[in-house]
Order: sequence, then C-alpha cells, then structure tokens
Amino acid sequence: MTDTQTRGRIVVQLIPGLASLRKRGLAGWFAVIGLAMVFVVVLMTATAPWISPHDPNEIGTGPVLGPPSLSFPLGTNHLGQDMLSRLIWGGSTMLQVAALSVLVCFIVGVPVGLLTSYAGGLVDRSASLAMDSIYAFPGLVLAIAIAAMLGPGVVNMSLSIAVVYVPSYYRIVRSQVLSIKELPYVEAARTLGASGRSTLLRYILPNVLPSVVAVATVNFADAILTAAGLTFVGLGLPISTPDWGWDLTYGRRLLPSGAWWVITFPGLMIVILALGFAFVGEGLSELLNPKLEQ
Amino acid sequence: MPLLDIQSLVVEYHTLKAVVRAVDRVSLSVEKGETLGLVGESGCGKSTLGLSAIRLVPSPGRITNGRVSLDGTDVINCSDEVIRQIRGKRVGYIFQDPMTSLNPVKNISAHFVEMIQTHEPKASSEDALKRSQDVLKRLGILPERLRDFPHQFSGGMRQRVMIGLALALNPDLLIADEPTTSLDVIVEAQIVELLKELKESLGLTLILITHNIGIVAETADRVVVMYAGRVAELADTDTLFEKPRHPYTQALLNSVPNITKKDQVLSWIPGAPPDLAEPPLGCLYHPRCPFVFDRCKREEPLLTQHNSSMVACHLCDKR
Amino acid sequence: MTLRSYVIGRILLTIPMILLLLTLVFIIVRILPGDPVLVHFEKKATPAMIEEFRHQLGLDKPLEQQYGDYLLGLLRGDLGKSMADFSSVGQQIFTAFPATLELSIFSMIIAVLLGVFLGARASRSYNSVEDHSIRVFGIVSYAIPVFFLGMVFQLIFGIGLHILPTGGRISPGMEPHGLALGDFRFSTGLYTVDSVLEGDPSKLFATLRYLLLPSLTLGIVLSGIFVRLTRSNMLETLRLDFVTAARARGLSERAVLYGYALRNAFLPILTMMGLQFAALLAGAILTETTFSWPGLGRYLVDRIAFRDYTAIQGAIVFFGLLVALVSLVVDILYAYLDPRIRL
Repeated sequence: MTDTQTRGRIVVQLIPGLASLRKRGLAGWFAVIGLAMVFVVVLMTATAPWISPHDPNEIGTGPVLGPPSLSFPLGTNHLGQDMLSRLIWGGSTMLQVAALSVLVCFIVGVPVGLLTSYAGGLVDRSASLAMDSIYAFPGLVLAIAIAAMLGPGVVNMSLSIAVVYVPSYYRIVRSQVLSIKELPYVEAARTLGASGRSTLLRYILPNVLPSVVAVATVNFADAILTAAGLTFVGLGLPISTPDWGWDLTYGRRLLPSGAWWVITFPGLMIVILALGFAFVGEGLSELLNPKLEQ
Repeated sequence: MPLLDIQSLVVEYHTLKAVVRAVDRVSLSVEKGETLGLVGESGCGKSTLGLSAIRLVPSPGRITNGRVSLDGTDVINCSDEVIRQIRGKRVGYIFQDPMTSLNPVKNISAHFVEMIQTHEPKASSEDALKRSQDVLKRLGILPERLRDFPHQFSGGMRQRVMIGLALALNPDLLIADEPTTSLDVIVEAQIVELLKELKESLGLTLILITHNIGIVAETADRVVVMYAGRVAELADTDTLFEKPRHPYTQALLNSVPNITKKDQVLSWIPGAPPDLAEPPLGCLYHPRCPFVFDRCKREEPLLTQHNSSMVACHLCDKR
Repeated sequence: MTLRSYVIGRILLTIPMILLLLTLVFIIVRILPGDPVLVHFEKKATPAMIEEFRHQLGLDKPLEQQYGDYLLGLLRGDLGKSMADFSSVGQQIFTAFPATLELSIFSMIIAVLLGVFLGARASRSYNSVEDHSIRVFGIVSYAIPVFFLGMVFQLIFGIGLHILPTGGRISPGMEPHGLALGDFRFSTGLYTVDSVLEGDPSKLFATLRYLLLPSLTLGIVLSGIFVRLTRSNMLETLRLDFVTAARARGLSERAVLYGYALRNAFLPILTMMGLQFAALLAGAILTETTFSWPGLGRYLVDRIAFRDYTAIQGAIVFFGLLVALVSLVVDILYAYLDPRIRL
C-alpha cells in the first residue's frame, strides 16, 4: 500500500466516524454541539465582508459609548465604532493565529515524536527531557517571553503559542508509539522485513492520529485563550485590526463608566469559540477512550 | 408471617444495547429460623436477588416490579432512611470476596465502630469496641488484631471479619452471598461449620447463596434452584436431593463428582446459559434440556406444585 | 527504592532540566532577532549613551561570556538590572512576590474546594442532570478567559453593586505591618497573615475584601480540572465492592462518599495541585493585571509595556525556577505519601 493510499484510508475512515458520532450518547452530543459552535463562528467570520452592517474600523459610525440600541444592537465603543461589526470581524485574527499555531505544532510535534520515540535510546531520552522542560514551564509565561522578543503580528503570535504546545503533541505521540511499538503485530511486520520507515507510516501513524486529533482540538481552544492572553498583556496585534481580544483589553479602561457592552460581547465570543473546540475535544477523547461506565 | 417475602420480583439492567432481566418474576419466602439455600450457575440472578432484599442492586440495575417485604416492611418503596436502618441492623450481608469488600484504608475496629455508631449514635467508642471484640472472639479472632488492616489478614480470617460485621448488631436475617467461593476447601469447611453453629446459637434466619450444591446439602432446610433469572425448582433439601424434578436440577446434581463412586464418568450440561439480552422463547432451559418437546419451545412453564416440590417444567405437568 | 534515593535521583534530574530552561530563556532573549537595547532606548538616547547603557547592563560582552555571567549571577541570586533605572530586578521581584503568593494560595484553596465538592456531587448523581451540568461547568470554567471573568465580576460587584473593590490589594493606610514587639519586626508579606499577627481585625477584613474577587476569579477558572479529576476518581471508587459492602452495613451515603470514596481518591488530587501550579502562575499574571494586583504578574506586564527586556528576562527566569522547585517538592511529597511510587 502506498503512502497516498494509507492517507486516503485514514480520511475515508474518519468520515463515517463523524457520522456515527450522534449515536454515541453524551460524548457524541458534546462533539456535535462543539462542531456546530465552531462552524457558526467560522461561518460568521468568513462572511464578514457581506454581513457586517458597518465598517468596523470607521471612527464615528455611531455615538461614543452608546449602549445597545436598535441601530447599534451591540452598542458602540469609545471611538464610536459599531460593536456588532467589530464582533463579526473580530474572530478572524484569533482563528488565524490559532490555526497557524496548531498547524506548526502538528508539523513539528508529530514527526519529532514519531522519530525520536521510535528510535529510542539516548535520542528518545534527550528529546523527552527537552520537551518536559518546555512542558513544565507555565504556558503563558513562555509565550510572553517569545512574543515579547519577536514583536507583534499574526505569525509571531502563532509561533510563540506553537512553541508552548508542541510538547503536548510530542507527549501523546510518544506514549502511543511506545505502547504500539511493542505490540506483536508490529514485531511481526518487522521480522518480515518491513523497514523502519514503513513500519512507522503504515502501522504506527494510523493508530496515533486519532489521539493527536483529539489533542489538536483541545489545543485549538488553548491557542485561542493564549492568544487572547497575549493580547491582554499587550503583545498582540497592531491596533487597526478588529479583534475580540483587543476589544476586551481596551474595554477594560472603559469599564468604570459602566459600558458593559464593550467587553461582554467580545468576551462571550471568545468563550463560545474556545468552548466549541473544548466540547469537540471532550467528545472526541471520550469516544476514543470510552470509559467502562456501564 | 414469613420473615422475608418476595413476590414476583423483576430486576432489570438497562444497558445501551438492551434491557436484561436479571431476575424475572421470582417469588419465594423465608420463614423465621430456617436456612434457605439459593443455588444456580454464575449469572443466574441469585446475587441480584440477594441484593434486592436490601435494595442494593447496583446501577444500571433497577427493581422494576414486584414486592419485597421484610417482616412487614416494604423494602422497595420505603424511604432511604428506613432501608438504611434495616441494612446492617435487621439484615446482615456477607459478600463474596472479603478482600475487596473491606475498606483498605481503615482498620478492622474502625469498620465495626463506624457501623455500630451509625446505627446507635449514642454508643460510645469504647462500648462499640468492646462489642466488636466480643463478636470477633466468638469467631476466633484475637482482640489485638483489631487494629490491623484488611490486607494483613488471610482470606479465611477476612471472611470471619465480614461475618462478624454482619452479625455485630444481632440481625434477624443473614444473607451470605457466596461466602466460601474465594476460599480454599479446608477453610471453606470451617466457615460452613461456623455458619451452622452461629445459626443454631443465635437463632438466625439464613439465606445462603452459592453455586456449590454440596454446602447447601449440609446446611439448608429448603433449596431454591434458579436458572437465567427464574426459579426452576423449590423444595425441602431432602426432597430436592432425593427426587429432583426439574431437568436442570437433575443435571446439576449429576455433574457433581462423587468421591465414593469409582470409574465415574463426569457429566456436564451441554450448551451455555442463555444471553439474557435476547432470551429464547418458552422455557429458558429448553435449548439444553434432554427432555425437550414442542410445548417447551413455545410456552413458558409456570412454577406449580408437584407433591412436595414447586417446579417450573412442562414435563411435570404431563405426568 | 528508599525515599532517600528517590529524592536524590529526582533532584539530580531537576538540575539538567533547570539548565535547559535557563538556556532556553537566554536564547529567547538574546539570540532572537532584534536588539533589545536599541528597542528600549530607541527614541530617548544618543548612540553614545546607548553604548554606555549597554555597557552598564553588561550587554556588550561576547555572548558566551554573557551566558556564563548569567548563570553565575543566578547562583548568587542576581537576576539582572532593570533597564528603567538600573536597579536590581531581583529586589523588585522580591518585593512583588508575596502578593502573588497570597493570591495563589487563596485561589488554589478555592479551586480545590470548589472542584472537589462539585466533582463529588457529580459522581454521586451519575448521569443525572446535576451530573451533566457540573461536567459542563467544568469545561466552561476552563474555556473562559480568566480576565474576562474578572472583568465581569468587577462589573457586577464593583461597578454595578458597589460592594467590593475593583482593584488593588488594600486601601492606602490599611497595610498590615505584622508583628511588632519593641524593636523586633516580623512580617510575612502576606497581608492576611500579617493582619492576624498584628491583631487588627479591621485590617484582616479589608484584606479579605480586596482578595475576594481576584482569588474567586482565578479559583473558578482553575477548579474545572479538579471537578473532572474528582468526578472520575470517585466514579471509579464508588463502583468498588467495599463501597457496596459499606452501604450494606447501613452507612449513610454521606459517610460512604467521604469516608470511603473520597479518601481513596485524595492522593491524585494532591498531585494535580502541584501540576496545576504552572497554570496557576499563568492565570495569576492575567488576574493581577485585571485587578491591578501588585504581584509578579503585574510586574511582568508592566515591564513588557516599558520594553524593559532585562527585567522581563529576570522575571521569566524566576517563574521558571519557581515552577521547577514546586514540582520537585510535589514529587517528593507524593513519593513520601504513596510508597508504591518509589518501587
């Protein structure tokens, strides 16, 4: 079986897997609801140019710090910008940052995990030690450190976040590899002359992927929260882009005047997005490791 | 009035795949002072039946029908508080595996004192301790050992501790669920002797749940044979062993090796107990019964009186 | 393996990890693109002055020497000099630390109490509405950005209802001074403890008023993981035979829950507390910023705003060392409590 065929197999198996999600009781519900939440947010962000009533960056669209009203359902901020428009546009950067960081984590964490833990010995031990050191470090602090040095921007933020979470991917891959490596059928394949590379690809990778996907979904939620955190701490993006994190951060200064709408809606959106991914992750991990709760 | 009266009890387990009837319309009663043996293969529902008597069927199991009456009290519908008071005080329960039935982080005296003080809040710790020492002395456990933890006892000793716990508050009824299954033969004999002696001296009513017919023969006054959640036969011990009427009972008795018979060909029952998620029609035993005929496959046999036994078998109706 | 050999082994393992950590921070700060000195002093100084500053901060030496100085300095407790006023970063951290410590302790207490209580209740009423709601709470509390929750609390209790302060650690003049006997002074820096030592209930009350919202915020966000852990441990334990046997003896559900199930599930909770310490610190940074709490977190954020890179480095190193130390202590404690681990 060629590599393409293996990859095709994996994808084909994922789809009916998704369809059977509903049947699996509560876990299925979690996953489905989570997916729906994420989908709605992504859809809203993608169609922003068409559905946004006003230009989110235009100053003076409405009154300064106007409460929610008919013309401005979510109110306006200190610059008179329409909060609803800012809400619709605001998820874009966060989604980009999170997606990019998950991608980087995947590209770095999975191969490193596969190769070093399959190789074993000193290579495995040193990689494990390095990853544990990063893992032990408080996530946000590390992200702050890197972001502070790299400067603002979507790519820099993604990289900062990616470094923090690579160890999570590495660890799950490693634990799976270690347990599968010793299984009889893998040994059998090796005795029959399968090379290391093909053993990895054909036997170990397909078994590792489901768990990695579960980690990736929760990781998405973490990435979103960390991105918001970075913004809050002042290491986010240039001010011009409408961003929920930024609205939350700046909104803090507006709180004493009682303008609750400036932070509530952006905050809720972040919660919904992060929650959506968290639900999916929760559902997925329960589907993968059904607990003997019967 | 019987001490324990069970009427048409139904206990179901609701799993994702199916509803399984672990106990299917079982009726029996236990008179004060008698010993009732409850026999059957693993999975026949006898343990579930025992637990139902104190409403401890573990979820996802549920009592869905029938009545259980303990000396007049409705066990199924009474309040949580009432059933809690019954457990331990009016009914003592001995579990199968004493290793996993004792709390590993508490020592033996803690087990006793806690139970005594739960039921008698005014009892002092010293008093409770003294009482537990007395109980355990009767069972052959020295007072110094009360401070030890469960894992420091041997299997037989642990079972004695369990018996002590079950008897500490002088219950009227003692239910012993496979009390000797996890013990070796010699210890088993000791425990059986112990149970007999306690029954005599304390005037206990005993329900002995086991798959070992031998013990039942020695200790029980009456025997109930269960199969796949239903009662197959119910009779006095002597009658049951001399004239077993249900084919299942006969097969059971035949499969016990007889040490006196030489050149004995061991017999066994072909087939396996039915999958209760999809039970067969008619008599549940018919797939394995050597005497099966047409009616058995269609109609469920009801428990009816034949001479001095109660049997659920179409064969007996025929005669 | 004895406890002693385990401890020694564990400590030995920590050393390379700490070294790696320090090196990592050094790499991040010194080697990543951009000249921190230039950025910091950008518009404020002439090139000549910048060179002088660079020299004062020790940043003009070759990299290897800087690395060596950095490590040696740490052994002496020197965390560098701030770019703002060339004062000792270590000193500033030392001043800010007790506030963070106090916030962390209270937050962790709230997180564990709330988490364990809810987790136990959920396990008791398995698969019920209560169980599901608690599980959802566990996930939601994790998904809420801690600063958003903090702001919501500020809005409701501070600005809306006016019953709690929205920021700061104490009102001016109410700082507890701790024990004072003649010339002997003793204070822990923890206002709750100090106000008790001083014997002034009004100060204690004031301290708690300011402490309530920040620690509640951080505590709630952290509790989610404890809810989940307690629930799954309890579910497992509640299924065990000795629990059924205990019920058969007529013990009340409460006695069964706390005396049997919870006691056996406790140890993993203890470990989790240690593991959550890193998350606690991260959350503290955001919480302190939200509530203007004068701790390490706010110090770090302030330094970021001022682009004070040496101070940022010092603070991050401190965080890393703190986490490494705490996990070492937790591991040793766990090995002490559960002999099976050492084998």
